[in-house]
Amino acid sequence: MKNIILSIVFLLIGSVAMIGQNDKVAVKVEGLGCPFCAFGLEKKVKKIKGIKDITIDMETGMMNFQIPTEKNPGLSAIDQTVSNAGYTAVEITIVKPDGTVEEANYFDSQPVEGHQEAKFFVNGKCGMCKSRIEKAALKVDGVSEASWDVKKKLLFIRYDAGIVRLEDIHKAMSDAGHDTNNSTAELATYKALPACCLYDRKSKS
Amino acid sequence: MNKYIFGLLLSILMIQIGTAQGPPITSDNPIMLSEGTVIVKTLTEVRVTDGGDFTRIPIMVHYLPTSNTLVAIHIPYIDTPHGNGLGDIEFLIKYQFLRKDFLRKTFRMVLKSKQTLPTGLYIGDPDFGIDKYQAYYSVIAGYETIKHGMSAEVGYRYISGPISDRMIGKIGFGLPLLKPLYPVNQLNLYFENTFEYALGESQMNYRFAQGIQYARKQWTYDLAVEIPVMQRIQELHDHKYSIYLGTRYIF
Repeated sequence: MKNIILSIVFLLIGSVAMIGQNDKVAVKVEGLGCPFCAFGLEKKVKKIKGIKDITIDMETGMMNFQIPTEKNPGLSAIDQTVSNAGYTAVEITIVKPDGTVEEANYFDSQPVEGHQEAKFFVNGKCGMCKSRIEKAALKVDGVSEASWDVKKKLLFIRYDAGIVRLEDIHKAMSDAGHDTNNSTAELATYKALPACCLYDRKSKS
Repeated sequence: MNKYIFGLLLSILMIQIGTAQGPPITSDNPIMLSEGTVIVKTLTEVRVTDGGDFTRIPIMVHYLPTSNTLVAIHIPYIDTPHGNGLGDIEFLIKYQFLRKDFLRKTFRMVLKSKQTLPTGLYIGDPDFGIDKYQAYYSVIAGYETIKHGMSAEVGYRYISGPISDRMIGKIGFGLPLLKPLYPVNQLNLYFENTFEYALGESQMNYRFAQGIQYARKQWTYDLAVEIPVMQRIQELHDHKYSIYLGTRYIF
């Protein structure tokens, strides 16, 4: 009886603790051809109650925001909201306060002719890492597409092998502070990452 | 000879190459903002002619009931040597029938229709009022990226009464002076060309406009000067130049 009561108490405490905690949402959006496009997207997304800290990165197409867990409308509703704004969500990742990840991938953009595909492990932790990793990859001349899976810690890229070598892309990751199996970030660079992005350096693919 | 020149010009893809950082000033692009957006704007034209100054000050309200449709009403005030007061009210509808989104870029196509009602004074110039119904139908195609944009508009302007119908086409170039970022903070230069061919007269006009645009958050401010490079269509007065002054606020 005592154990049952204790279990119920802990369950209630856990539930109360979850209220007031936020889900971190990262959405990769296609179609953002101008800053006013981003304005239209933000305006539409802000209509979801409870949303805060919206940021939109024009170069990576990443939109990040936070929303209380109990108010999160879910993957489908977020996708529909982006569509109602006039754009296309190709990846949605929701990181819960307890670390669990929900994601949906609607990726259907066409490969660039002559570009190769590759997938490799890049260490990171969150939606901010995703934005940083993808931005760093896209900055490398010859890379046409970059998408990092938060849960699996895998970076998917399309690149022109005639312009860039895969090792250079690995190096770009470590220069941004994210370890790969082939390239390790300098300690100072790693430590300069925001606190929430300090991933476990011991974990590998 | 003019027909061939016009045909050649029309056969060139009438591209308005812009930075895609803001809406063009004297022409149009197929980018639509999100469902439920309301835009209030104005673009005053002061047209200096050999018969005096003709001013058109429209208040324009645009609304997007869905992310791919737009309806608008334009209510102008005109001030001319032939009279001043309410001008011809216009109703605009746009429908985006094609959208292909990619990372940092998009391709879109829009159908556009503008109906001009004879609500204003008779001025004698179709841009300022002829007491006749007018209609404009066009197709706009655009490819926009965060570094540059291209859009093409080809249109037909129906003018009831004795004044000739027109074929309209535009070519423009945009130059961003700042890196495209969000939140919006943009400074752009525009170089826009307008071709107009009067079907009944087989004559054409060509005007060139240079403009500067500043956009910050929800506000956009435009200033442009337009000069007629070729003026062969029979007009009320010879057009010397026009000054455009505009502002836009997005709700």
